[in-house]
Amino acid sequence: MGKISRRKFLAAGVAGAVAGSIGGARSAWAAPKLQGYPDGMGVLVDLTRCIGCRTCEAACNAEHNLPAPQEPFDDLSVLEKESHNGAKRRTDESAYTVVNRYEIPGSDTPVFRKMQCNHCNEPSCLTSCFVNAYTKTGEGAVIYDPEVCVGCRMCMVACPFYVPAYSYSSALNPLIVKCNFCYDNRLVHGQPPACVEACPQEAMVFGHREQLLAIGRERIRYQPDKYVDHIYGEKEVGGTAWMYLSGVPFEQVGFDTTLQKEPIISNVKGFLGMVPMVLAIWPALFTGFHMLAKKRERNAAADCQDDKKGESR
Amino acid sequence: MQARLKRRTEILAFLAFFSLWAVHCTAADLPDTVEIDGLAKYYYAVDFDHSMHIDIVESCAACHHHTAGTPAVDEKCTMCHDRTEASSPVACQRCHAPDPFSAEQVYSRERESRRYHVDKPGLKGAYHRSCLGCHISEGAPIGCQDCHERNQLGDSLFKASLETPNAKVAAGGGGGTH
Amino acid sequence: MKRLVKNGTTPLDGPRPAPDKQPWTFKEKLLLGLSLRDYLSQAFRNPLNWVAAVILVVGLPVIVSRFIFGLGYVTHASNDYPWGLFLGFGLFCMVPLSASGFLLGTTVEVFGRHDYESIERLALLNGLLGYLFAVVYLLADLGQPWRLPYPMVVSWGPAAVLFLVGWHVATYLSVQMAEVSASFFEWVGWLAGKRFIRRIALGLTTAGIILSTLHQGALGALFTYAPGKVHPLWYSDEFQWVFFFCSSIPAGLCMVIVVSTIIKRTMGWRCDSNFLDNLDRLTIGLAKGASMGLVTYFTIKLIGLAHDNEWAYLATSWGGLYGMEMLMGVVVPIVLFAYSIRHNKVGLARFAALLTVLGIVLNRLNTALFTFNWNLYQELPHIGEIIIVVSIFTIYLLVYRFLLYRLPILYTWKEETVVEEAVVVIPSAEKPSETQSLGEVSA
Repeated sequence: MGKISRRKFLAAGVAGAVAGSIGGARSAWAAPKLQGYPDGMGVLVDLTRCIGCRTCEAACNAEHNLPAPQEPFDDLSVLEKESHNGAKRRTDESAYTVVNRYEIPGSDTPVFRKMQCNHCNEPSCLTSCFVNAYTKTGEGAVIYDPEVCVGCRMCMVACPFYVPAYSYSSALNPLIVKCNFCYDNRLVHGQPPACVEACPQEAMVFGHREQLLAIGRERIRYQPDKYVDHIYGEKEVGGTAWMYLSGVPFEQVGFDTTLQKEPIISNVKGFLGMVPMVLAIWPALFTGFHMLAKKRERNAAADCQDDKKGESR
Repeated sequence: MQARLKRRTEILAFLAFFSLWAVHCTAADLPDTVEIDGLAKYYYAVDFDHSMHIDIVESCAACHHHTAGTPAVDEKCTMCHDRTEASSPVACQRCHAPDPFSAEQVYSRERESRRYHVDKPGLKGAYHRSCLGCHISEGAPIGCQDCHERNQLGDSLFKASLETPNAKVAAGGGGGTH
Repeated sequence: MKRLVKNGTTPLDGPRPAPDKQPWTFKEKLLLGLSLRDYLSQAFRNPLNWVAAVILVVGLPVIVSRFIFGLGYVTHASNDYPWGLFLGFGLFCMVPLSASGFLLGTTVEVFGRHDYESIERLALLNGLLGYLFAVVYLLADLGQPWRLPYPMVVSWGPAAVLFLVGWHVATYLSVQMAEVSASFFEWVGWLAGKRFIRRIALGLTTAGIILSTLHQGALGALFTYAPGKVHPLWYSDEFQWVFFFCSSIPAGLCMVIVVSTIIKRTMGWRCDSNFLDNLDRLTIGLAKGASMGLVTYFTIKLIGLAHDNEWAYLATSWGGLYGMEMLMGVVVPIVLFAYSIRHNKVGLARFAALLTVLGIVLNRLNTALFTFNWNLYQELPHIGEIIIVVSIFTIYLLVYRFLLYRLPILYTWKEETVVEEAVVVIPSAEKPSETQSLGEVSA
């Protein structure tokens, strides 16, 4: 299914490219290098453009038929809402995406930050799932299969961005709730995600990830005073499909700037590499020990009737 | 810097016909109001008071870049766009696509990746960033519904029927605000 | 029960005595050879049963409500803390404390230390029940527990550490089931089955070592998926699985010491002389093993600190928690073990073992719960979670006791004594002191 869908997307692109020169058309989706997801789509979120209107939240809610929120989407007081533990709003079982407001020290203009699944290149939700419920599609989306999910919530533990939520309120069919890049209903049909399309400010740019990186770098180069010289998500945990530009230090708007550059799975490889070693070496090793122990027992028995052999160690 | 970026586009779509007088910004030839209905699905069309905005801005270029025949405000633009003839037509959507993220647009943008204006906003983004940029700096209204009146479908999109004890306080009575 | 034994009742511990040859009925075996009235009256007299009853009266409805109203009903339904006490205690603590099975299995079957045989079955049962109830806790925690077999049969995610944990715990549970079944077969009187298990014992034990090494470590490796979330003092990219594996060794050994101590105090009537007379000596032996494990663990923890250069964190309040855990759970037990081994102080060794067990529990809770999201906010478990954890633990204790009362774990099944004695070496033991040990207790 993934393949067919991708072809559809590419076909749409090719159709649009008919007027263009043949060489140029090819270069748009030829892999610049042989790694990652060269055809993967992404979104570049420019925090300097977000005005915190929550239209993206409303559009997402409608697109995915999510449960009604507690407050209407034009209630902007929620942007400052904090839970009992002082944490900002986050994605939950009724929201794939949320926008939060951050007061910046020394500045009277707040900064708004939209969060949703960042669709990692090497998603740790995927690599940590023991029933393989996650798929990274060729289009760049990280999607989830509710049919096989057991509900261990390992993916929630593993996600460095605190994105997957769980529908705890359901007794019979609780599931992981997470942004899917509008994969089924839009992405495969050559359309951008609902939130991107709804944003009045076009704070989000949708395109191939490689292209977005170029745009991001260009914006920073063009207005170096306006932007922090960093594209969040270019390298973090191996790179993400959704990336961010910001005018203020990223840690001031709720980003974890201590994340490693390597994919999360690289932390686990040491252990996983040891597994076959143990499987192969242990039986021989311990059978060896056993034979040694047996031999000594026999020797001891043959030598004499010393009943203290148990103490010989 | 920011204001300059935002002061990019404003009106447009609808105006093939007004390329004629745009050349010298002859007020007599310009439409007094322009109906903008790009968000017709969720909002009633906006009757944009064009003449009022002409009165308060220094140059057509504040919104129309170099396309209205006046010199561009941003000197980065004038490096290339140094001539002062108006383009024909002057409509915003001649350059700013209403569907900037459709597969066709994404591919055509990437095909022309050596072009300078590869990071060009779509129509909706161009409007909002241009309008809001000034509205914020000039203290004009900035709530969503200060400009757009929401229709029924819009109300249902925003779940406006929900109890909202503090919405009015926060939104200053006008729906979304900055 | 103690009173009955004192008054001359012999608990069922082998085939029916000589005069009448016919075998015990199953019902008689279940009732320990007592009449129903006697059995019930001893049960009612036991105050622990009343405590358990109170806990379960409160707890069972909560457990039921968890399945009717969903996890959100008994937990904080936190998306930031996906794992609460069910896994934090039930999985991450029960599993290391159940390492006893493979440790004693290895000692006896592989290294040929048959002098540990009198305690091997207890260690095996402790292992089996620990894992079994870890799975019970897991079932309480899983969103869709009826899909538990999915990673085995429906959809494989073989690259995931949890896949390995799932498979290994499942396989190891079967291995332990087989190991413990030897006593079950004796009890039901199917000797062919028992002989078969004895024949494959070495294979089972070796399988146990492999599976245990891997999944004890794997539980640690699970946290390497969440590098920033666990506090650096409890986290290491490279050593996390070593920490968990290494600490499971003293944990398992000390758990046997603790359990055997409780048994000696409260269930002396059930133990035979072979168990009771050897226990003190074996406890010191286990203490030696545990202290070596602790020293190794302590060294690796220090290397971990140095490797990631985390010394600065020691001065924070997290460092205080870390210091307390290491001091109470590792350093003090090492010192106490050393002293008690040198001076043969069994009581002290038992106390040190208890400290070690608590220390390991604290370590696992710290890693999975208390220091998790240290950069975010701290959250104490929901009262519903605590009630369920305590209730399941009570059920665990009741099942544990039920099996100890009946199966030949603490005593040798009479019929087999002749065979067993050829192997077991009892160092100059005094006559069995059933009355002696019972004398201490006043039930």
